[in-house]
Amino acid sequence: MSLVPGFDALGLPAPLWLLFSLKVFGFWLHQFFMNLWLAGLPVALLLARRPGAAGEAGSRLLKGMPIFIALGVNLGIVPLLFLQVLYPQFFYTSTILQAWPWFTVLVLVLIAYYAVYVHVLGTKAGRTDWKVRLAGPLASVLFLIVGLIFVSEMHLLTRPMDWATLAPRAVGGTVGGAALALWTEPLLRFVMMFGIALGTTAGYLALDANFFRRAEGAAAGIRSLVLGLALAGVALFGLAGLGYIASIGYDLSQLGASGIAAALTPPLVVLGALLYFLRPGRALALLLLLVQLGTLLANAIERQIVQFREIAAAFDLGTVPVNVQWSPIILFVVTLVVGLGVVGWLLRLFVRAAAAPPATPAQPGMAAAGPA
Amino acid sequence: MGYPFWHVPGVGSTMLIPAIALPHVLVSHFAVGGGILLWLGIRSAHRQSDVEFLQYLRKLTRFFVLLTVVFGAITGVGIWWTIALSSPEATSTLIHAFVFGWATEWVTFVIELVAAFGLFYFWDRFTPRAHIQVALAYALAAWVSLVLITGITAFMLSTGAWTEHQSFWIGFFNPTLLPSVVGRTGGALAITGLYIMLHVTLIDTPAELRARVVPWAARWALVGIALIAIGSTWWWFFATPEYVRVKLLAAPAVLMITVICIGATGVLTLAVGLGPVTRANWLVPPFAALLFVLGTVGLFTGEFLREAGRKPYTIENYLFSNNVAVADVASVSEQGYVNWHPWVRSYLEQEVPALFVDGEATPAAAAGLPPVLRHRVGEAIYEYQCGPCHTRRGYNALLPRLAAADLETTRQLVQRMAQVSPAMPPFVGQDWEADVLAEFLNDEARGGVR
Repeated sequence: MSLVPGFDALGLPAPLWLLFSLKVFGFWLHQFFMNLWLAGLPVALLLARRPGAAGEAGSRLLKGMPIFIALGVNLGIVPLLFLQVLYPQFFYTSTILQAWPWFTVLVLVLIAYYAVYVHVLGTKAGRTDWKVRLAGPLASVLFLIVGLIFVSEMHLLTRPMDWATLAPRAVGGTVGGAALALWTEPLLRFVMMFGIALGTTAGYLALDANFFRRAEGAAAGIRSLVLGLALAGVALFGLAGLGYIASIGYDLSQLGASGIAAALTPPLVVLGALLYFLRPGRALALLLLLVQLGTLLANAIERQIVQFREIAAAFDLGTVPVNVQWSPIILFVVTLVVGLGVVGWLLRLFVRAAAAPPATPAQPGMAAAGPA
Repeated sequence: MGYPFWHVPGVGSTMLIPAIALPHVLVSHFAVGGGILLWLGIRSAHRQSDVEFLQYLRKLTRFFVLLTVVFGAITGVGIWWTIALSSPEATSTLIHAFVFGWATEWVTFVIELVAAFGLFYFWDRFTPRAHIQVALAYALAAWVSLVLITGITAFMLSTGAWTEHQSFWIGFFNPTLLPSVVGRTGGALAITGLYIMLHVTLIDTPAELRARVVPWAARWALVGIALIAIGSTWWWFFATPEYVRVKLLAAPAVLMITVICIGATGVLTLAVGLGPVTRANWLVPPFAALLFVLGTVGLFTGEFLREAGRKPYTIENYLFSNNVAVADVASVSEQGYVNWHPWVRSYLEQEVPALFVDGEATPAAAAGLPPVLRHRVGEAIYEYQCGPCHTRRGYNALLPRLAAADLETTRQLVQRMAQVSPAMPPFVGQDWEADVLAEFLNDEARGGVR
């Protein structure tokens, strides 16, 4: 009998197109920052020890890591939220089957996040003790483990037929929560994502060198690095992708536009990196970044299509009643627009502040007084 | 819905929720209270050109940002993560009823995050006006986030007319929303004021500055306590359903926790009011630490009382704590729990195939099972229906309570559970399922199947 629980009696709160769009859009944005800690962090740790432009680029990437992690975690909420709306019975069940690793994700991310702070703030303060030196690699390893747990979860989610064999029953037919689906197919997916993440790191480094750093020789100094990362990324993505297609017996004749785009955009990133290598500068840095963002979008759309197809074998989402919550949707859209305006206004204040010199501890006219 | 149940030996999976939720409650109240007090402090320091106070607030901001942006954000997601593991049915309801409320809250958290980073990285580069504006954005975003989350968590306790209309707004503006917002805002101010008093005594601060900061923080802590008192009184007398009050008053453990909560808050009010507000030099680190611990005890016991009021529901009048929807009780009882629940059924089909005739578990087949197999069926029903709240002999142990009961008494207790205790949901299933559960409990209370 089917182990898939029934769908939530409340039905879907919005049209399917909107829910899928928000899920894919959120995952697209999340990928960018997640890539920077998945592949960018180990790359930055390796680079930061080197002299010259590459070392400088690594150090700058490390400095920004606390913000990238905060944004990545925050943006990761969006696809997870809409995944729960669309496929609650698959998502919750698969997380329960691997409950202990899934629960451990919280602990691992917390330790990794603080470890990044220890490394970044310690390095900024000129500390070179073992705690500071260990914290960076530790964070990187923990993020890789978190990535593996996520891959396992996303794999289990679409495999209800494997649930019974994967989850040996604990006392009274309950589950012990120790299942992990880390075999060939999910591992290949992980390597594919790591390959894409190397491309994102290359794109970000080019952006940083040309738009944020603006130092003499910075843009040209990293051109080999950018090309190397893009090449390594596409090699990993391509090899793992071929293995992945073979492992799932994917029918290539079913490959749609997004599938073709997902397969072809990573090589375009290499082309962009090659052009940047030949003529480093702002225009080609921007082009490289845009192509990488296109790769991430194509990947997000294709992953959604594959997930939809895999789950459709066990469950028809079209049978779920849709009870659209229009006024809460309007509330969200209005808040989002206002929120983006506020964030834009805050960023403007930050840019102005960044251009100003730091205030001296005791400015003229500032005398001691009591808080009101 | 019928989800698998995660078995955590000794404590039960639901006890992992407070392990994440309690630290998060403390930190999230810090985020809100810290946001408000930082804004007020920064405004005051700039208006009075108080450089020393501004420098002190910078140290405080580093703590708040590192705590709220990292620990607060991860544990916030963590609560959601954990409740989905232990009570997926309730989580699914909260998601499907309020998904755009969560999404709206996410927007406010993004603003909070950006403003917090701005304060952290550009503190000494802002103009006074920009500095105050960024702090205000942080405070407002954090407080609106509190309101939105409180609406949804208060809904779980008091659904109001939502069960009839299932409208987002009716659910959000539930009877306990406003008192909860007032109480939580007070809690945020109180715990932050208490923390600032502790912080300023622990770090190297000039005595003159300490003499200014301590009464300031103490006054805000008292404002917070006053709001807690208003919110709690409103919540208890004017918003909480009558049956919840009766139930809470009838439970000795809950009464004891209530006494601790009110006692801690009362002592705290007196201690802060008589001491730090007027006599900053009284505040030495152990005294400040004691005040902070009292505040934390008040906050945590308050959370416990709120949760205790929820039983026998996970979501009032909609979902029972045994993860069966109120609307499904009659149909599941008619169909039989084993036949309804896919995970219980598939397990028993494998372990006790003799229970099934033509693919259905039947009373006649159950009657013909040997005691060992009836025990196994009872155990599965126990784990799925009782396991969400009880362990056998660990946390909230069930078996010791039944040690003195004979089989017939246990059977009566199972079948009339909701009448015997207002905190218990009804047993959901057919009579024969209640019988095998009672036999299982009776056997286990005496050391196993005989």
